[in-house]
Amino acid sequence: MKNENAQVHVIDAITAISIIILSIIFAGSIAPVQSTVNPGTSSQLKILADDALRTLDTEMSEDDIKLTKLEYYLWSYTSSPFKNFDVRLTDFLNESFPSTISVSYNIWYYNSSNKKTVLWYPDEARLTFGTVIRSHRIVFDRYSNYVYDVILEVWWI
Amino acid sequence: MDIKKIQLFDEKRKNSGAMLIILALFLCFSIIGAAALSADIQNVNVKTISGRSRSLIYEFNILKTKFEEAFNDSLSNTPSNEEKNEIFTALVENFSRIELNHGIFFNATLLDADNYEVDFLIFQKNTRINGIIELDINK
Repeated sequence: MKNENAQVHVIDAITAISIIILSIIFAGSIAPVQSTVNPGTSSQLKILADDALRTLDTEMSEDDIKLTKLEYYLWSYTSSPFKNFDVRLTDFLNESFPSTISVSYNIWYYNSSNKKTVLWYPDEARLTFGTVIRSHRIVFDRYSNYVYDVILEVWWI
Repeated sequence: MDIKKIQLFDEKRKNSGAMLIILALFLCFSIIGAAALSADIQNVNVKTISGRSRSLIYEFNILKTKFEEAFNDSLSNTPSNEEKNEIFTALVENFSRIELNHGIFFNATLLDADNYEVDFLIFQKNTRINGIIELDINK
């Protein structure tokens, strides 16, 4: 009876050790889950962002007939000492992305003459997450002769 | 009294095997859980900057239009060839700086200042677009 008990304990111990070893082997084989980004969807987001900027830079502004909407919004922001942001820009962008998708974005502009990148919207840069697509549009300011690059940074939320 | 003690000891010995298995299972789930969690955490805030999803010709067309527009607006009504060259060089520098931020190399040479004939070059990775074009300038 005593010998049987000892045998059972040995089997228990072997089983326990086997379980631990197998779990270590299994844990070691777990690879980091690859980012679940579908290339198709990020391309679609890129096209949406490109199209939004292109439309803004194609439609003429109602406030200044010489400028496109994008040119006008940028000019009114950069030329104003108080840096007044025109909410029509974000209204348009919010409408450009379908309501079925949730995205967040930052808008930057780069002044090629003084080589400075400035955050245009929002006041404080939102923390980017996951796959970030960047769409850009060159804007020439005919009043100051500066060459700007408007960068729209979009990501899924 | 001694017999009772021995019986209790035997009971404990019998249960210790089951406890060992339970402990092993607990350890097993802890290890797997920790590994899965760490693998998941490793991916948090991984930023992937998406590359271009359109052909480089799309970028080329925008660049050409914008360059034309900027060049046209920067020139005076009756520009001299010197002024044309000066403004052209400054614009190429500005545009190439912007494009370089997006991983695109851009360069342009003014071949014929009178007819605004320009040699445009744009390339990214293995794609290269190069050609001589005439800018549409109303001066």
